[in-house]
Amino acid sequence: MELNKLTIEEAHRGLKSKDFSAVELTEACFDSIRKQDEKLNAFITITEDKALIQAEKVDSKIKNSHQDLNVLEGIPVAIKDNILVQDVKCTAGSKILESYVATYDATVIEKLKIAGSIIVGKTNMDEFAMGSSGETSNYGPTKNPIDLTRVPGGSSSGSTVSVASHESIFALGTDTGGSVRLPASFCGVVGFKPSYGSISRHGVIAMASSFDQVGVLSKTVKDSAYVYEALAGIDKFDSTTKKHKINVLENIDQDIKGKRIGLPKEFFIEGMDPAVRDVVTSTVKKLEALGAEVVEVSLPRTKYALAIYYILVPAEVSSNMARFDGVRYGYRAESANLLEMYLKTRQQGFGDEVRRRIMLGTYVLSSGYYDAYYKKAQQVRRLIQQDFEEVFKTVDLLLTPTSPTTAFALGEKSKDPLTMYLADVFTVSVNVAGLPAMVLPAGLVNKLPVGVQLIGKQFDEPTLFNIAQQLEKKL
Amino acid sequence: MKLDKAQIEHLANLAKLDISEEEKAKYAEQLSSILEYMDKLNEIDTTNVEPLSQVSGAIDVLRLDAVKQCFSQEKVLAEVPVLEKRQIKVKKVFDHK
Repeated sequence: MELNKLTIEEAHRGLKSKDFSAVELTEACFDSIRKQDEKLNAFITITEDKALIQAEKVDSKIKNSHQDLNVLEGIPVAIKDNILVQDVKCTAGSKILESYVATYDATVIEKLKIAGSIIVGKTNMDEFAMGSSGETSNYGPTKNPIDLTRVPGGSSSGSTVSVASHESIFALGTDTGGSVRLPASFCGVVGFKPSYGSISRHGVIAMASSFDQVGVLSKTVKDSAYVYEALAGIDKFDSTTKKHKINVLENIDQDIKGKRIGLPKEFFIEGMDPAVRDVVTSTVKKLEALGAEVVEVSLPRTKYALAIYYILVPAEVSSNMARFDGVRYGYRAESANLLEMYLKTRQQGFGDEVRRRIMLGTYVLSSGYYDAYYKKAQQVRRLIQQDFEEVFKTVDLLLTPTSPTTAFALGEKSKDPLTMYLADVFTVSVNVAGLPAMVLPAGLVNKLPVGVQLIGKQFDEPTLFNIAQQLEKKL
Repeated sequence: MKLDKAQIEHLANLAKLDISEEEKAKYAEQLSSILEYMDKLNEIDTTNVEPLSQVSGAIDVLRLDAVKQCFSQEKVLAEVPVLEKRQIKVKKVFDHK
């Protein structure tokens, strides 16, 4: 048995019945990392010594006590490198944080540690989560394990690849405009992005604060549900977190007869790969076979979502990136005076895409252009949110493609930023409106995975998980 | 909206980025093409639409102003690039001319 290929549920059962130990499970993941990661480049930092000490503790608990084993206890997890783990390097994929060591645990890490999960390492990512392909990392691109000449999708590239190639049992990513869902679709794993305000971002390096949310990469829907229940909830360190129903496992096995699923017609656009469209169509048939009622709906302002996303996100980026100035932590360039230090530190410390977004964000916030771009985008953001509210009066869930294509080739889109931004065309609306969404592997086109996207009502994670779980059995 | 070199220099100065001549030309072209894509927003009438700044619906989340344990000073100071007597040191702020 290859232990690293187990799901959370299977690994938990095995640990509980003493079929294998937490140390054996953890070592299976490190063996897999040693065997493959040189070519995949999914990890920036490996924390093997710490992980094995933690695994030994879990084993001694299993051996010596009759306490119940938590479902995540002893389960190896990979963490995106923009989430702080105390005393472990945290680079966010950037040169400017190449030697930065986190001084505290993010709330999600604290919760995972309490649950007993074993952190195997920190994963590669687009620099500060700005990218859709995994190629903007200062530490080299991550490769798609299904085809090494292709991108894995980004920005949670390493976390996704670590799950897809069994270097970890599950992983945490972050999703600002599709950064968990797009790579999940390209690599054939389950990617879940919760409602905005669901999981604390305390200790997560901010990119665009009104969009950012921590997400889960896993092998099954149920695994994602276990992780979500462990992480969600109010945190006094993140004032956007809200109280809502977090129990998603309770109704996950209910049948979905009579549930209404909407297909927003604006997501089935010209230029979409017809084979990808076929995968979505066959998923619709499976939902119907399960007794769900599928109807066409309209989200009329969908085509504006990407434009407002790439106004508001760079604006928030330019403000969030202002803290990286070489003074208190991170990289500092040699200079003659203070101003030169700021200029050179930021020029040398940030990569091309980060600087481009800082420039764009500075522009849309600058005097004379604020109303035309930033305010206008915020107004359209409200209209898009209203479109979703309207549609969710008539349906329980939406089904859409995740991307117009399968994983594209390394280097194919990295020359032209606008072409790269268009890769997010189906995923950004969800963040614009703060909704929960999940990508499920639904089929293959020329051997490459295609994920379908399910979008739920804000804070209605239970319905999302229920329908996803029932659909998964048929995919 | 087409950006020229002077505007790019102005933005780089506001953003504190020391960009090269080559990058000025590149960013002028790329930002212009991105902004052109944004222009499609003008098709939408937003008269009397209230701007939406955040989507969780939370407003004015307050906490008690009480003294609590915070991060270890040693760990935080260990990250400072140049430290002298537990103080953060930077190069001179003003040039004498």
